[in-house]
Amino acid sequence: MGTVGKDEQINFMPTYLRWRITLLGKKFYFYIATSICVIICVYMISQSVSAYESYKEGYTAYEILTQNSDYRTVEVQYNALQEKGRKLLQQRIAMNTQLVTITLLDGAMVNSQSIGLKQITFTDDGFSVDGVASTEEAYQEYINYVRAHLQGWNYNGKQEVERDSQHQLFHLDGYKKKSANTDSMGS
Amino acid sequence: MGIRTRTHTGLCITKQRITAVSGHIENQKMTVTEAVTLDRKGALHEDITRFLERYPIEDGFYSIVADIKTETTLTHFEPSQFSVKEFIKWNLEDIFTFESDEFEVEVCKREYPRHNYYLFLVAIEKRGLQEMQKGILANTMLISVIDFWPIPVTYSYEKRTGTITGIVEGTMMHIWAWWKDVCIKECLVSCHGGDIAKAMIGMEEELRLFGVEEVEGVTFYNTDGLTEELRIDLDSIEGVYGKTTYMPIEFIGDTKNQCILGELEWDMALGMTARGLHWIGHGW
Repeated sequence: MGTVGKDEQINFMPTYLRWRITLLGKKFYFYIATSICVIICVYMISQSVSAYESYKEGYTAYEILTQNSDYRTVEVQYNALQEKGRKLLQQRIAMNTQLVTITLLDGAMVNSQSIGLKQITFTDDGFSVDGVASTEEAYQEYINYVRAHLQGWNYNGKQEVERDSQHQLFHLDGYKKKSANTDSMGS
Repeated sequence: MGIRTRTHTGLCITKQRITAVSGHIENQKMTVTEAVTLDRKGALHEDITRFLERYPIEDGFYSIVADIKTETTLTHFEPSQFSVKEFIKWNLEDIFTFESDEFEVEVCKREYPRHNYYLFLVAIEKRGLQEMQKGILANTMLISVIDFWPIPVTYSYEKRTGTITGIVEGTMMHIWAWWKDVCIKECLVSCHGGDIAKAMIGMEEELRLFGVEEVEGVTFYNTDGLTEELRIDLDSIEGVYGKTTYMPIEFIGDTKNQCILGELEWDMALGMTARGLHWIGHGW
């Protein structure tokens, strides 16, 4: 429907024909847009082809390299080193030595009248504590404190009574549980 | 730097011939640059192809009107009660004589007097319209308007509101009264001076209801086959109501001899060109 002034005029042009005519009338712009699309497509295809060619070249060079016996030896050594490094890194992450030290010292300070620590040693997979407790109860309290604050650890402790002073000499080993979440250790 | 003028071609397709007029607007006049006609031989879409092969028009759009069976009606419409779509949906079957799937409908609204609305509905036989669209698609014609028969004759007139058009159809005279580019009344009367004069009075009365004080002009088409007596009667009716005057048209070169004002197909083609150039509603 067209208009003359405010008045609508009858027009039997169906919508599809109007669109078709509009497109035909602006075909110059469509040619330009199509040309741009074709140019972009051609450029992208050429880029893809050249990228594939360079990938093929690189892959061939890699295959030739893998055939070399020296390369294989180096690769095995490199992989072994990588594995070792990875393990070390995992252990370091799993054990926060600072937190363990603070907890062990804090436990001793809580029972400062009855617990004295002689030595704290860190190993690759845990720690060892040598100390002295005034009584059996003080030793048990200390162990419970450590267990409560360092969860995710296995503990192995032994004690003996000093004949002269009747003090409890103790040795405590701590090992990280393999499945334990390192988050429980804090970061 | 030269001013590029927009050219438009109006096509009138009847059962006998295809008539085309190309023109543009120059110095407040419609300048006709081409006027051609070709006799019909076959199906509508084939003839359109043949016409375009014979008279290829290089640039500009086309507007078409074809002598396809058409029915029109003007009906009261209350926008507050119905939307146009709803109105069409519920009322079409009572308005037109076409079978339900045999026609295409277009509508336009008019207001007279203020806040009193009319809906002008035009139904065209679907088969003829589809055949015309087939010809348009087959030839990738740039079409801007497909109009209905016979309104384009009025587009070439100086005043379109208040004019009356009569076309001889066999032994009958088909008469239309035009107001603001819609037909407010049409009737089919026998080709007899008295009947036509009576119908003209009815048309005049109807135009008065739409605020037209007096008829702006009457044109009768296809009168060649009528008797001398009847032609005299028609001349006298035209004398009473006045002849319609055309918009300013300038014919270039041979178009002056080819394009004959007052002949139905040429007036139709001229009117379609004027509408295509948006040269209607400028005071003509």
